Amino acid sequence: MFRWVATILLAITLPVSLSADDLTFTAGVDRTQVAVGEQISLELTVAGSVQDLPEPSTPQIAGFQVFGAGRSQQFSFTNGVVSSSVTHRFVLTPQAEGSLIIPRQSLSYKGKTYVTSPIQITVTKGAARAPQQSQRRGQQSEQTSNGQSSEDDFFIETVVSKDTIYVNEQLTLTFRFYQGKRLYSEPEYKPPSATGFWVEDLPPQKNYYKNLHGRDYYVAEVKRALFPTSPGEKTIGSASLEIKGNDVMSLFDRDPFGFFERRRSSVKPVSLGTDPINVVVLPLPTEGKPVDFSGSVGNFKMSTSIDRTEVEVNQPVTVSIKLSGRGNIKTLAEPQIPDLPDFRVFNSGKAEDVSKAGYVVGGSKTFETTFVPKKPGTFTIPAVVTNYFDPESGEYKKLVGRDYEIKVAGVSNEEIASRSGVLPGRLALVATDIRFIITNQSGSDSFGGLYVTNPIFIFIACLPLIALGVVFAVRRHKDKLAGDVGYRRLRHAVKTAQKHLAVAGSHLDKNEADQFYTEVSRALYDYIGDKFNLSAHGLTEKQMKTLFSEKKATEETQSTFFGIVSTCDEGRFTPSSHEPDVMRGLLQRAQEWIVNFEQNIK
Amino acid sequence: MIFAILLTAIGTAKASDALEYDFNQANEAYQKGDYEEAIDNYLKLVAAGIDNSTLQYNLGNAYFKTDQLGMAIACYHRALKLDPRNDDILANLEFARQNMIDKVDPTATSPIWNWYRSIVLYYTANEWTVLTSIFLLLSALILIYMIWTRERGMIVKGILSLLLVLFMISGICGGVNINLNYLKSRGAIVVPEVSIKAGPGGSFDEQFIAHEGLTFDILKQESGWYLGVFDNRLKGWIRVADATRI
Repeated sequence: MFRWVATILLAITLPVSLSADDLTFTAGVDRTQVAVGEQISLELTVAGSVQDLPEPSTPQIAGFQVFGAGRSQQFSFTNGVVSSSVTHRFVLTPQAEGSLIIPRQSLSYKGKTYVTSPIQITVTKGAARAPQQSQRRGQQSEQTSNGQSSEDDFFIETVVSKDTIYVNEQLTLTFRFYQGKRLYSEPEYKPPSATGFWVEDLPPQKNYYKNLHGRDYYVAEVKRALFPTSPGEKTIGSASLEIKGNDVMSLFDRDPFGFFERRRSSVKPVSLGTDPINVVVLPLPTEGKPVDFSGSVGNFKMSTSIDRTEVEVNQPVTVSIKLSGRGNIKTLAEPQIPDLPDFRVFNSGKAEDVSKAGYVVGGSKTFETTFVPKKPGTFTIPAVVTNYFDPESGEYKKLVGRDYEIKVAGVSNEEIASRSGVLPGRLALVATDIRFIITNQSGSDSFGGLYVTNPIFIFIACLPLIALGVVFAVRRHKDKLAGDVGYRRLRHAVKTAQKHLAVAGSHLDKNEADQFYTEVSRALYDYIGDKFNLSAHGLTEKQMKTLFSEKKATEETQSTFFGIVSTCDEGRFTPSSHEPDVMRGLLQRAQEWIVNFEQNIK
Repeated sequence: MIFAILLTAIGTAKASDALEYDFNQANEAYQKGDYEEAIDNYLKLVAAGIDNSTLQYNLGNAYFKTDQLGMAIACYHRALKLDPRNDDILANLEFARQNMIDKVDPTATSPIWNWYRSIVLYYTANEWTVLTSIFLLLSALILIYMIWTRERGMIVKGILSLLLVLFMISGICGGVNINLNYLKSRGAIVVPEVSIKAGPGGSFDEQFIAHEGLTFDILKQESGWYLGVFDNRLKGWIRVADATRI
């Protein structure tokens, strides 16, 4: 449950702690209510996106006995945030009942201080004690039935391979769990804390049977390699093992009533612990220590290889240096590469291969270095020299690689630079330097961006399409005019009428009354003819009235029309009406009538 | 179009009056060998919003002279976007590339794509755009002619189809160019040596080591890290501070 809470907490806090070097430091307990004599597990978690997370110190909490119970480390990748977190576990045993507080824990890192929230713990007395006694009773009945001490059913021990070692030498820590009874589920193991050591797990776990004090035990053995990082007296903390209730049954019991035995014995949770172990870490001897000591401890061999020995100027050559043997491979330092004036030197890769065969940490580490020759000739890449301390013999040993001779062909950069650029005999121009800057302000501007995103450009680019549309419409219109007489007549009715009226106007100016009246009359008749696509000549008054009423023309429109027409008929034969003013008025009326008809009659 | 060019030309003419001084100063500093000063002055112009191939080319040269190979290569690439056939830019980019440690062979890309890419990148995005609109204009003119005169002969139809095909090809090329040059982000490594990680964080495993000047496609950016694909299809995460966008 707590883990879930912790994980959710981490997931929530992670996105907030996006920026590098940001840490979160949280504290949590597995329960807040506990009886005297029982234990609480306190977990201090340091998380952040940094590689070397700081370690919190063992908390000092009034009212509790505190034991370190190991650490676990994990990398996680949530919501795009990479984070590593280290959880340090402590076992707290309350000394007295009451309300106790686990105070704020603080941690300093890069000048910042991170604190946890305080946690309140209620330590009870009575409630928890009754089941404890019943457990004890159960235990006693078991003792009598089996004739064995229940303390001997399970026990654990930690053993170190040596108690005096050199800095960075492997110390093997063996944890053994002796089981006199079978367990249904895995007990909770908390490895010992190992502050001041570089820790490597040594799989696999070993399981075997062992007879101890006349009793058979099933033994689970877990090993870890510890590499001390500094000299001095170090303490490896206590390991602990938690066996929950309902897990236990008799291991070698062949009693036919064993079933009941099991029922009875499967009550008691057991909490086991070991004593801390003190180890003396010796500093590496000063006698015979090379000035350029690499810091590697163990037993190593070195081999080197080169990918080619004949190259051209500016072509890379890669030398691989492989260190292999026993020791802490991960902390192996890169051998010093000499600075060569005729080459540009780059570190181009490294690879690790850690093996843990036979519970000894070893393997190989390969360093690749690239050399780029600057000029032609024959050069020697000198042998790489490195050293290590062999703890078995107590001596410093030297490792020497081999040197390589490299033939570089081509022309050196400087030599080409000194020449005029054109080589005699051939016109192959070899570039010696970059070309000079351009000093005038030529060059292409981005003109404020891409044309495709410029609305003015898009408009201009679309103009041909608009023109195409217009031409298409005009063409269609023309085709319709050509193919449909009625359509053409309708479109041209006003124009024709106006043409006739204009002619009538010119007759008026010349005082040709007869022609004037004829033109006005034609203008109106032709207009009606065009409008209704009929021949103007055969139109009778009756026909026209029918047409007008079909088009819902008003009485006024009709009477005006027939008024103008009859005036024209009269005017042609009555000289008295040849008054220019009257004629002008008539022309005006005819024009107004056509405009009126156009507007009102569709 | 002429109108559009005129508009922007007026704008740049005004700006160049004020900034010509900076440009000349930078060039003088470069000629004297004071490359740092030249970079400062060129960057002032860049900050003023000038996006010009000559400016980027000169800036690239100044970076190259101060041993900032990655920045130089990035500048040459930016200059080529605006002036892809400029001999000087191409020569200096090639020269700068020769000084790179990593020789990446773009083996994974097909030769047909490489050939097509070189055609697409031979013109700028704007040149393709203008070309496309010219083909559009010509197609429209032919169509207008056909509509007006009712000419439907094989020759006119042939010309029209050809123009329409050219219109489509140049349109597609323009689109691909814009995608390559403007929509896709590329980056260049600007520190001498960088460890390419398996994830966006320093604690992830190292995939490989890359050196200055290597360019890559930026697939995404996450919490201060780029996910990049190099030309040989290798993928990895690069800290944003170790690279620059082209």
